Amino acid sequence: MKGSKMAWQRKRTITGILFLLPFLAITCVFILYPLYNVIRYSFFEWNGIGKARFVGLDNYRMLPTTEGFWTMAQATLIYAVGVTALVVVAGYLLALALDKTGRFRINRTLMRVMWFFPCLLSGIIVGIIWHIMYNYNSGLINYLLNAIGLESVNWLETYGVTMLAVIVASVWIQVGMCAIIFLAGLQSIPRDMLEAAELDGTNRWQKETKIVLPIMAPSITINVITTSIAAFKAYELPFTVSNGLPGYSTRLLTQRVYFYSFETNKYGIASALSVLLVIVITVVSLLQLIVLKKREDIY
Amino acid sequence: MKKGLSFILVSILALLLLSGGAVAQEHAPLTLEVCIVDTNWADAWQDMKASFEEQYPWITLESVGSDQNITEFISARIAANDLPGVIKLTVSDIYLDMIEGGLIKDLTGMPCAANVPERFLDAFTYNGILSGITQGASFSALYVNTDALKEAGWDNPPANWDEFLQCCADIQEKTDYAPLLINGDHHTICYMLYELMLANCFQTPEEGAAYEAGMKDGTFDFSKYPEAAEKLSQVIPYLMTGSATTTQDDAVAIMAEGGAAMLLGGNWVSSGALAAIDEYCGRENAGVAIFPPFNDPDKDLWISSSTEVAFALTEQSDPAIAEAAELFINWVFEPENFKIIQNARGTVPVLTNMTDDMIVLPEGIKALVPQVSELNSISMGYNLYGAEFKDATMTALRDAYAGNGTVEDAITTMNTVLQRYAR
Repeated sequence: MKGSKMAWQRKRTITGILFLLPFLAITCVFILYPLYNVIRYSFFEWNGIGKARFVGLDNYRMLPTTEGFWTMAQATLIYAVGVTALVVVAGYLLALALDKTGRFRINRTLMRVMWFFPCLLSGIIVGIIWHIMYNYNSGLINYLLNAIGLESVNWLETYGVTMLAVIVASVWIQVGMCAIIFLAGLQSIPRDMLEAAELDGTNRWQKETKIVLPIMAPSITINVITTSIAAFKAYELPFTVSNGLPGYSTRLLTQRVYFYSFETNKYGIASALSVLLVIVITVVSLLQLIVLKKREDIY
Repeated sequence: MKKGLSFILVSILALLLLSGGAVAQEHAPLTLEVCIVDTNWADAWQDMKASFEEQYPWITLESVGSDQNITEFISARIAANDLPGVIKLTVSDIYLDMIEGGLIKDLTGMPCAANVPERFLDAFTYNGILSGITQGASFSALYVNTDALKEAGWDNPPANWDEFLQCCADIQEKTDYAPLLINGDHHTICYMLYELMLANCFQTPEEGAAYEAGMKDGTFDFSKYPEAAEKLSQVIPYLMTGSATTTQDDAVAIMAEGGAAMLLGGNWVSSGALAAIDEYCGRENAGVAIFPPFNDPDKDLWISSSTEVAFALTEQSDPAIAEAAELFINWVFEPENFKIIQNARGTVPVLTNMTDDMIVLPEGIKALVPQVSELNSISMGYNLYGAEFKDATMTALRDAYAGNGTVEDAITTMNTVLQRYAR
């Protein structure tokens, strides 16, 4: 009896392992092995062709001394904070507007599709479209500004303004996805709870802050973390909108990884920068998780 | 009897198989990957492919990488140890690494190099290895809207630096055109504006050669030519707003809309630029191409000229692929075949055995082409600088063009970066 139970358990274990194997294999080949190699190459000088030379921490030491590194780090931070804040706030407001309890009842489905549509587009295509729209001489935005009697703005060559232009384009492409997650959260709020609150005499502000917001806390956590990770990893859209200009003011560190990998063939420095970015993203995500989870607990 | 018959049949079959194998071994069908096609002659590629495959029926050509970033594509193929047999290359970090790493075949003495002038071969000779044969030559030009100049009181385009500056001032004062446009988004053009100022500071060909050598070994000192910086500072106020980030397509569109009076560019944009000016002015030959007149009145004119992208052979482990690649590159550089590319692109050919009737050039630059080899010139920057210099310098120059920084800041950056990243 005992023997047959053990055999059953062994069979169950083997079956479980067999089910896991494909996933483990894919994880090892496509995630763990490349990650291991990125970390390994960050300690080497290698141009992708000859033999790699061990240089210890030299790549990490060299990074802060390379042209524009600190400006690019600052740009990455401004971009990530700006995009995350605007996407989450705009996404939340959009979700409120698109919710069936909201005011915009006409063509609600059409509105949802319209706002979600940019998420389906390629970042490169969206970047190019915004780049064209921001063109000083022939762009749509300056055309509209001129039409209402305002001066043209040099969107792509003015410090500060260009970062704003890049952030707006990034918010436009991401806000739909964020809103959909919020919308799902909003629609899961029991209606009778809101009705009971109304009967108890709560006003709209109290209802939003004391009932809706606490219930939405997990959605906020998810959106803040996923949006900030995406912002720290962003590459193609900021690159195509502004090409990192003016100066290094809109050049993100991910663009520098590409530059070292594919334009200079310095895989060691590129790997070191990638590792640094992974560490920053992990730390920021963990901090956000801790803070936001605490807020969830308070609610 | 039966056994004997079977033996004979088996022997015949074996012989047939063996002989078939021998034939197949001589001309086994194979596919040769080539990474040389650009969008500006993609249509002509089909003619070239058909013509080559007709002559060498066992080889099928497959164009790869034409729709991708070329360095990214080649990097990925290096990583996969799967380089196409024929590739295009420029003198850049990745290709120098490939030559040093033994991935590029030496073309010295091969038929494809036989009818190419020495200076074009020198441009792609590194460590004694002839790494590629260029598909053409390029030079700097200024595309002028003559109607705009007439409106500003100029019947003829400016002939020297003083006239050029005065012309810009007149255009700004008397017309709605912006005096000068560059497509600064492109690093070659972004650097070309300064490069031409610098070239026109040189007194002798030796000085030009010293600049090229100094750029390569990191010893050139830009601060020794303050007059070039001064000229650049003088012209920046006349640049059309947005020039620092304007793409080539945008620049042509702006000329077609009458936005600017003059456009600085390479000869490769001649067809588009001149047609755009003609379109705006509503008449033929309203647009003319001249060499940028950045020389002082009492001095000879200097321009920048250069080799274009070159075709190269990669080292292949499969001898059949290596042989096919060699056949192909030698075939390409026969005049009858090379004209397929030249006619489609309309750029300046480098083959000395191409006759005039084979060459198709845009009307607007026909008069300039014979003068290119007679004028003093320096090599265009992209043949001389590495990726780090390119990135930092163009960033600094674009800042200067957009009014966010000074030319002096840009010169300081150029000196620092050139010394730091000398190869």
